[in-house]
Amino acid sequence: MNKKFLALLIIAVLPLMAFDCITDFSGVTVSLNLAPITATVPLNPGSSHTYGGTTPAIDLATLFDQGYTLTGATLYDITVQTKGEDLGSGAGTVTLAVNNGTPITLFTYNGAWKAFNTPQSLITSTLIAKNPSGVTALINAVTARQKVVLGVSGTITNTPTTSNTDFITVSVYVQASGHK
Amino acid sequence: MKSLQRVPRLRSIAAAACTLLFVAATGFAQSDLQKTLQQFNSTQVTGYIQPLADLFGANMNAGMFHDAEVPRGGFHFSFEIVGMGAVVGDNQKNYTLNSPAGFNPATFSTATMFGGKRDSVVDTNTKLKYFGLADGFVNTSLFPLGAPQITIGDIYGTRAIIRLVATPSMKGFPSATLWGLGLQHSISQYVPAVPVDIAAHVFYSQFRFGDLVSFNGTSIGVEASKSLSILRVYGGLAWEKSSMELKYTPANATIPAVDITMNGANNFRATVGLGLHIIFFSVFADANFGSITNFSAGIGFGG
Repeated sequence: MNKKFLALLIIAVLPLMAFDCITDFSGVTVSLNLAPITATVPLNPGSSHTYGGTTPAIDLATLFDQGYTLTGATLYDITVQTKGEDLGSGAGTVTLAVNNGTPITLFTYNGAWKAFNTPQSLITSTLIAKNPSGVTALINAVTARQKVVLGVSGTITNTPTTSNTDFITVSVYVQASGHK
Repeated sequence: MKSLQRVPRLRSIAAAACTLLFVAATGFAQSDLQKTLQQFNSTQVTGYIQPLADLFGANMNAGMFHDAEVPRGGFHFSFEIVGMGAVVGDNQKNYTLNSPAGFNPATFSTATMFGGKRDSVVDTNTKLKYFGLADGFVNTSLFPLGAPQITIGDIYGTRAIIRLVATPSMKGFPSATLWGLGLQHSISQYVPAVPVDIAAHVFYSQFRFGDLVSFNGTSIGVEASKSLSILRVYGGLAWEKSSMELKYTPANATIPAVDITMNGANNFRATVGLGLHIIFFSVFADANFGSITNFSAGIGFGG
């Protein structure tokens, strides 16, 4: 066989080996872990045993790489944590308002303040209960890249003795799926 | 003489072709692969991309030597084009990923970049679901690499081997550079009574693709060969080490920058091969056995 022809044949085959093995990326589904959707509410001294607050509007599209076309999303955790002096026990509700719509309950929590000093997780704690319709609304809002507002409200048996020392922080963890 | 005159032209063609190979095999790295990896932190991404370190590392340390006959003196020059292919085993297609904290089960198996569709885990208590990083995107049973190399010598039974491929930055892809440098030294010259040629080698190579990924490889070993007319049988044993460094800034600003180094799986290899040498032309092929099985084959001009 002609040496030059053989050389060219082998050289021609080498690049094709690599081209052949790489999938078109447009068909590759990628998991997109969104930054946690978080709200922190302060509890203030006074006679009121209720508290509440809302977040500014959160644009869910800013929580993940916008170069992806989303095909779905799942909720994989919710956490609630308290910070500050022991305020006895209490209960709370976290709501979700999509695009300035009517708030819908996303989840509730109920238990001793001290128990929440260690972050409680929906996965392992019985102190948190999710509302399926609220979760569905959140998932739909993520895939539609909408703006949401989280509202946190509840009651507590004891009120704080000082300002800016007691807080409740809730975090919602969502994983989206997308492709280029 | 006529063959030698053809070498420069063939060398140009070969260099261009191998350049294409490198861009094709790694060109995805700076674009789609980087964007995919940027979704994950260093813990998550390690298992997904580890097979690349294993397979690329094994390829880097293949195909350097296929002749242990190194004369004590005289002029030797050979230009070679070597193709390598590492076998992608089932253990390179899936890996074990940690589930989110508190999930039961605590780990699950999902696709690597060489695997199929990503998998998911469902917590037995809450039925919450969590998916693996991404689908695989390299669908092959043999992961290829190609490189031109020259061998030049011989001085005191020592021969040098040089690999070099460099591509400029173009069309959004950063520059890519592969280089390698090694020495092969004749052992036979000290033990002439041995019926086969024996040599020892040391080889270092490096591949860089932009700022995203770089590979380093080192091989130290001995090889033996026996020429029977135009046929050459050869084999060798080598210790080797390879590593891949991956650096990027995740898309999610809450995730710290990723800068991780992963070691390749291969630390030892045994090689068996066959070659044909006709005047200024040679072909060779060998199989390499270790944690990663790979093959190399090539053609050479000169001698």
